[in-house]
Amino acid sequence: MVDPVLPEIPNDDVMIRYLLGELSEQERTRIEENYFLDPGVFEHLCAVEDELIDAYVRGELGGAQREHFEQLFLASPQRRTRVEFARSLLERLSRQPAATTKEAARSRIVTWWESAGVISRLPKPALLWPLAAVALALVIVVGWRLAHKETMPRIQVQERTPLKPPPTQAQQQPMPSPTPPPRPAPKIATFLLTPVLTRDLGGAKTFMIPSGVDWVQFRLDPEAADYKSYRAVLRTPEGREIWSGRDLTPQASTSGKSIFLKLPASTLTSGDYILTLSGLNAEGKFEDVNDYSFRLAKR
Amino acid sequence: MAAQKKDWVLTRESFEGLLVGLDKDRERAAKKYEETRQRLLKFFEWSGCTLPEDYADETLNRAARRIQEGERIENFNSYCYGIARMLLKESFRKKQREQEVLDQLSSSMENTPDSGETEARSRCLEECMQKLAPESHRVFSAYYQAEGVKKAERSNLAERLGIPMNALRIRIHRIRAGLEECVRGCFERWAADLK
Repeated sequence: MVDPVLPEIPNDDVMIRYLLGELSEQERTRIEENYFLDPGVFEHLCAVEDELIDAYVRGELGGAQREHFEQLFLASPQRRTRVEFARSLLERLSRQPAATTKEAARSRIVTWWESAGVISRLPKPALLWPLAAVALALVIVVGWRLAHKETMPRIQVQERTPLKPPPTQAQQQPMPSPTPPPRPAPKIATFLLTPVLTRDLGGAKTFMIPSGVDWVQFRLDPEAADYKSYRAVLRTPEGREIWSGRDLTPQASTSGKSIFLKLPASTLTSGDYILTLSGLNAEGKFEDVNDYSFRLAKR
Repeated sequence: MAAQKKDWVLTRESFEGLLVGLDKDRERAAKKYEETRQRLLKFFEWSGCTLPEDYADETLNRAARRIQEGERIENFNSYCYGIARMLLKESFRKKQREQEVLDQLSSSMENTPDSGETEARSRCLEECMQKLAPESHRVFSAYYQAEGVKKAERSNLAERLGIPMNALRIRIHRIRAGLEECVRGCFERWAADLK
């Protein structure tokens, strides 16, 4: 019989290693005891699994993690279906106009009502606010009328203003051209590239570019960010140059300094690529800093 | 004894006995049963079993049998976990046979031409997304659009909703699990209509 005292709750990294089969037997048992006893831990682990699948679909898993994921998660039809679902979901949501956090935060009020148990006795949330607004308006009108009952003047019917005659041809002004609808914001897919030691594409990451993306942005975190400016050249493994950029300067990012490259998605097709990053030294010559090998898959 | 164990079959009576053992209230008992079953499913899936439903059901069958035989169980989840671990060890011997069957299945699936499956799945996903409650749809979309670019935005979203980050992740997981279930059902209906 398992000791009912709960062991320490594992953190996300441990949970990921559990899901990828990277823990010892003893460590696995500890986590399993935990989630069999505690429903919160179980749901947390399920949420981490969702995020792991998403990370794989986005091409964010590298090396051993990707290998372990493919060995475990693509080994059965049910798990493959989950990965396919994630792929469809992320692609679908990338096509949707971005929901602001303000819009999403509106649901906070509904959540409060739900927790107060009120919502179960009321119409659906979609109807709740219009009904509440109508009810409030009625209360205000009735209250005001009651307060002003003795002094309310009679409603007088005003004479209708005659309609203006239509302008003559001479008077007609050209209609201003209607303002064109604002262009939707361009869709950008951003990928983090990590340097490789060799140009062997065997272990290269695969990045999925969803359909409808206008720009592809690569983020590079060079090991040595000492150069004032950089040059980047994107080639196929055969050496054909696809794109190049100069005068690239590092920008502040969550990981310190990063270089961002933005390319039109239309210039990229599915396939293997090598990106070479070079830094401009004090003598005005370019020195190779890092190579980045990766695969792109376009939907 | 071994012969008796092998011949034992879950009957309605033994299943009712199992539920009564979980909780006197039938609805609460059914909920506890389902929660345990979900945990077992995931345990077997995460342990690399290719037929987790069969193992989960076998675990619960064995628990039901022991309850029927008079065994007193303090903590049903922990008890089932113990049975599941034993079953997992037994399964390693059968694993190779399972893998051969699945390899055959996989190759037969690969040879089958795509009969609009991808399109059907997308259509199902679209239908199921429309069925989401408006506030769930908003939070779900905002969460995934935030995650794609800046992970800090997820924390921002949690803050604005007034819930801890972990609670948001679990909420998102529940919505997603519901969507997956809906898409699975929709796709199965589409596949059945094809035949």
